[in-house]
Amino acid sequence: MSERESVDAQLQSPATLEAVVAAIVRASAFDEAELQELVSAGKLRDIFPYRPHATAIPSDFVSREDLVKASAIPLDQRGRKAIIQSSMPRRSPSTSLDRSSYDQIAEFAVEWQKADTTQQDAAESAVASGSLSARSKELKSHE
Amino acid sequence: MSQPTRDFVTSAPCKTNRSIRVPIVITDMNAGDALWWDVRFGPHHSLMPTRADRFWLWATLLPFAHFVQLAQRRFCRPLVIWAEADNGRMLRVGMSIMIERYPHLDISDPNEAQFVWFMSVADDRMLTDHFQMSKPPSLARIHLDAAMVLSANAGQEGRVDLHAARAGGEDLLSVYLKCGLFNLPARASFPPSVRRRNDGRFFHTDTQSAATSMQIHDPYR
Repeated sequence: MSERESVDAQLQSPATLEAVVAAIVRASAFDEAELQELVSAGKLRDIFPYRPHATAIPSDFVSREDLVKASAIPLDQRGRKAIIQSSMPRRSPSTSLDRSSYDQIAEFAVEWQKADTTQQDAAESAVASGSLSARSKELKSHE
Repeated sequence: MSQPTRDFVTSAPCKTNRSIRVPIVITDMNAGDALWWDVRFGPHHSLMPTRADRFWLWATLLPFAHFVQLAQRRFCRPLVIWAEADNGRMLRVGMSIMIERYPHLDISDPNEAQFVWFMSVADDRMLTDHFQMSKPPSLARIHLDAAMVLSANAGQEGRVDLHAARAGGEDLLSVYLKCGLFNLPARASFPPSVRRRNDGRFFHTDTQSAATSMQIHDPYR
């Protein structure tokens, strides 16, 4: 088994929304260069030990007409949402997370950042046991 | 007066013969692209110890990058570069994740920039031996041009920043210098909103160098 396969094998499909959110909250303690170094050292699993469940692999080759060129101008909110949604894995029978779940995580991430430190601490400690959407709503109510 | 918007390039010089233009298309990255890259290139790239991206798992990295930046109230722009193979069809040859509206790291120019967070180029040998692409395009500058174009069109005047992963060693530093980026000295301070240590591996453009670089690529748009 190569080193890379070893890294890949230690990733697992996420069990719960709360576990993913807790990992994101922990990862937010690192800056971009630190995260890049961790990923480059094969330590992504240390901060985000999940991978989307395998789905069908797209074709190797595509005709040029079938490709949709990316816009070179900044995207509006709708465009950004579409990009985020298309980045999330489709639901698979063997994983509990689907795209709407990832949407909830994204929503939580945004609300978490808006909240002050006390609210963040409360949400962080509660996230393991409570419902993610409830935590997100709780954060929203403090806006 | 606002500058006219630029588009991404539609061709790139061939690595082995720069007089040949290889048709390319830049698309937004989706989960399928990331998975494809991991499956097709990942095992091969992982055997190349000098590659900074040898352990990057794009299928995990893509949602992770979005989540982490959303928590910072920023947005990631992940792109795929496709190039024409010998069969006339398009193949993924480059991947990148940029962060929009990042504080420009050169404090003498307090503005926003595009931060190129992750950037990969497919190995030439893999392209020629396994995907029948006898004219692989030269892509490092194309990745950076895409970042400069996004920056310019966002009103950031082409400002781009990046960090060269230590796993890429001195060779990666040389690549970025050859691409015309400036290395921020290790003693340079960062803007107050950026909490990090300067390890001497950060690079940036200024508005003048970005304008020159984009002009050089204009014939390829």
